[in-house]
Amino acid sequence: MRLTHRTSHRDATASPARELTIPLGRHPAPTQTNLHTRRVPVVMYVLALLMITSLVVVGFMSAGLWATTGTSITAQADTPSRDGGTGPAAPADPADVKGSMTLQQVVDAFPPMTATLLLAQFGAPVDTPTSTQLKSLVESGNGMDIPALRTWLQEQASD
Amino acid sequence: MNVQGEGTDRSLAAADEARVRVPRRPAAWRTKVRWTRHAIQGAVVALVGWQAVGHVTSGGESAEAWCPLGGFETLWTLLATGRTVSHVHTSSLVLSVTVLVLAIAGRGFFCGWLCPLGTIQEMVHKTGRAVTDRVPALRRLRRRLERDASTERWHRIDRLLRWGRWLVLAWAIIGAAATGTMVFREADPWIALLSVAEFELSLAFVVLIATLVLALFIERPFCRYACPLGAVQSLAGKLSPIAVQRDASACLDCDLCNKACPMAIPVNTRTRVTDTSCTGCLECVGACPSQDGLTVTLAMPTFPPRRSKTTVEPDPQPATELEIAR
Repeated sequence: MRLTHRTSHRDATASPARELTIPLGRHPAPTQTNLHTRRVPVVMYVLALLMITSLVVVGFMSAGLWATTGTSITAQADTPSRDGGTGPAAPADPADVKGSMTLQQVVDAFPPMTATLLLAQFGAPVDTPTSTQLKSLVESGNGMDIPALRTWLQEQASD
Repeated sequence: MNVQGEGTDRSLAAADEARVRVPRRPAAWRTKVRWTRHAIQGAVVALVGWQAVGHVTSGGESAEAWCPLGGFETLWTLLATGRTVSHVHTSSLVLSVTVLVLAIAGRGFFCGWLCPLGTIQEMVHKTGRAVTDRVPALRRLRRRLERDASTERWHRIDRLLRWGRWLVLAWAIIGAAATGTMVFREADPWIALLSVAEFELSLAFVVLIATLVLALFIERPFCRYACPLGAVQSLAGKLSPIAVQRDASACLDCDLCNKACPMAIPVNTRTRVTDTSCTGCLECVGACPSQDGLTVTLAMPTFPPRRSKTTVEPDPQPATELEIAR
């Protein structure tokens, strides 16, 4: 039996013949499935699935639901910030502030706020560009982190 | 003696006639499919890599925003508060929907053809094989490991470890819902890989190293045992009408499909490969020397046939190509 297997294996891989031989002792039986199936060419399988992927992503993009920065769903629909960033405008709620946002986005979202005030909170130099992300300021700052900034912004807004 | 010889020849010829012949798959077919897959995988890795490098060098958007898992992690928070958890953007949500649609349409296609982490594990495994093939001591070690891996004990361990995906998924989803943060991010090897330039010894980095080291010996270890996204897809993939189907009448029982499967699915024992770990890579189909042995099939919706007295009952065993060939 093992010899038969080997022989058939050799047939399968080395023989130049265009046909293969089912090993002796094997009883060919049709596939046991209750499903009515249809063969799909591999090219069509790959192309169709790639197309589905592209269509879904492009569909959401054209609906304005694609953003790689920003925070909440409500914030995503806003207009872009003044610094020309690709992300959405900053949120109106301090709870939505995240480390990926730039100084400018925060300034834009909370009107009385200025970049100088924010930089002072982080203990960063006044000439720091407004395109700097908050998380960069956190890393080089004086202990001010994003949750603390949110609390501070909330206090400023309520004053 | 001659009479005996003729008799043997005649019986051999008769036996040969009795054998079933099936068409052979062209040898170049496997290479074509494999290179197409690698080209698509390479394009995705290049795209994500470009994004990651751009983020590090010029502070562009993070490649993390392209992670579909974040969308599932944030789902509860999003429904409850309308906000996403930290590090999740709408792009992640869009990609989550895309992955779900893809899983329903094409089962594990995302894992096998698009996932960059899976691609990297494959690359590491292939590099490992290439190195061990050239170093005799390593080759011997690999063969010993492969021999041990085929034992029932290892199969039992393997089956047990595969539950890990579901545990990780539960941890990621429940943890994110309970804490409002991406708890899995701390152990996510993909995050560690994206932020490898800003090196930091973290749990995620340890998981990444463990994954890459294991990938030298096991194909796609993270996909097999720990990927929560793979687990989500497995669930959605159960609805998929697409699957690799094995035609037992054209199967040579050569085990080449089993050996080719990166997820160690015993393909030659299945009629339709609907296993939750199938990545749809089509390596088994490419490895099958018989053209009709393994094929990609689409299950069509069927309705029970109407019973009518005048209806002629169909032939219970319709003629197949094989019988015609015979």
